[in-house]
Amino acid sequence: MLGKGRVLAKRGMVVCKLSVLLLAVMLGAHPGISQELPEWKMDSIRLGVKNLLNHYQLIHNQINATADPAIEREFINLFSNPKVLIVNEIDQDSPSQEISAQNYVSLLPTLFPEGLTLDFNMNRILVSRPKYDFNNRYLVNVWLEQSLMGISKGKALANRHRIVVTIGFNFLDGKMSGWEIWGIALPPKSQTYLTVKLSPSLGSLVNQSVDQDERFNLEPGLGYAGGVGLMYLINSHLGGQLGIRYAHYQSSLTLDHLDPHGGFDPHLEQVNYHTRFWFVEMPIGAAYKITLARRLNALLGAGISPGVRLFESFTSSAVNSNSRSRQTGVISDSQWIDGLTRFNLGFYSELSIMWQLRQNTAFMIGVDFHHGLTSLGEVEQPDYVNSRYQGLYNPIWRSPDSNNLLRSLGITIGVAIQIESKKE
Amino acid sequence: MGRNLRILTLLLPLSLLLTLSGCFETDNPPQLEVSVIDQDSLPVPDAYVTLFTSQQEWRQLENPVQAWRRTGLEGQVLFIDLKETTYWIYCRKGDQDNSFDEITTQGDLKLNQRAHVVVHLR
Repeated sequence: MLGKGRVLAKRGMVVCKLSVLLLAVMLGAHPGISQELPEWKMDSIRLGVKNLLNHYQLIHNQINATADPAIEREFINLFSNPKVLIVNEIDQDSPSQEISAQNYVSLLPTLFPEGLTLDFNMNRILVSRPKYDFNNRYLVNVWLEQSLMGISKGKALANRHRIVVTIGFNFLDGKMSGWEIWGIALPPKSQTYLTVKLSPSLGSLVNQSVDQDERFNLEPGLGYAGGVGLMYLINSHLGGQLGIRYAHYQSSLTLDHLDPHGGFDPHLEQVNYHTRFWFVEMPIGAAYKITLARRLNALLGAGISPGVRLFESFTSSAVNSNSRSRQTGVISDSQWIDGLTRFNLGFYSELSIMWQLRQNTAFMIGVDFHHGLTSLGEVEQPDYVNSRYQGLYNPIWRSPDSNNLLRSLGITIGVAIQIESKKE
Repeated sequence: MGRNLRILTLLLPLSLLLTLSGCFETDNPPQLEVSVIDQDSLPVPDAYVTLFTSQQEWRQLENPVQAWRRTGLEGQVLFIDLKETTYWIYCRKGDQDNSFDEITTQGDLKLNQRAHVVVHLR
């Protein structure tokens, strides 16, 4: 018969495996990973990209107040659809950083009656490897420098900076066709998020020697954690995070009965040891954001989580085998906390889905897993092995040569507020 | 940012209330410290000590209120988490005990009190 502690350890492994599976499923859903990519001839792709951009430049520079409406239609046709977002550099009064191609082409002749001259620097162009999108369509990101010159409301506009153009094309039977623009944006440089999270969790205080002992059953308890953090992404994907959280862990250990010893039988059975801890933890680690859909992101995080214990409590109870009543405070262990370290170092990993509610605010839901790396403490008790079933030692803590580790698995609910976004 | 700040100001106190709940206790249960000494008034280490709530249970050594505790090098042991009642104390080491000496606390223990009792083994 397996002890519950061992069963729980196995459950922990199952949870880990499920997390990895979930991660694999999510990554599988990510475009670009789900499809085996053909061997690309990057020179051919670059040629297609340049042809499209040259065409875009040519049409763009023909748009003015007196231009044929057919020019505007031809401009729109360069995009996959009229709602494709492009950088808003023409309407300075609008707070929006991006506008649709449809709005762009309708505003341009009004704001720049004499036209706006666009010049792409084709000599320095960077094209990413294609990523599979859908139905034989692939997407590439193109980084290049553009310059704009024009006169609007008596003021001259002249700027030069890098942009990133997303271009889609079809690839069938070894041929590329149907080149379209899927977006024009400023390349993101960095983003800073403020995160607020609440996390109900199942936690346990694992002692390795108890974990392997069939007479003890380890039962995880409902805990919680809440905190704030900062997440800094150095580009649109990768970054780091730092936070502070207040966490509560609890779990119970049960023992069938206390053994008679020294000629006495305590008549105590169904012994329950219940321990609770309150920690302040400072998780610090890496973060990786994956875009799943337009308003949906996945966030992976992992790192270390040093913590300091603030409060603790220990209670015990058992059933008196004569009276059949449950007594509390059956283990008198006033020094139970003395052998424990106040500092605890743990590892954490998290997987969250971020749903963009507004431009700067996202709702987060996910799972997080914390596991102690350092022992909470151990006390050398030479006669522990003989005495632990008699209630003379607190079996959760007073065991030699074994680690006491915190472990928790929680559901995270929170918000992420983008407080800063820098673009090139 | 105005609405974001309002969300923050709501969430932060809520999380603080949740996390701090249950952290504080008002009164401590009574405690009893037992010192075990031998006929020469020297402390007796490794003596088994337990408590009963009635004279009959003490005589029959039945239904101790807690698991056995063992004295340290100084012959003392501390019982915590006790109730506001009178306790009968029983100690034993080897073939010596206090079965001829009925030793109790001086009346009911009180909250936040740490009582002290000395037991002779013979």
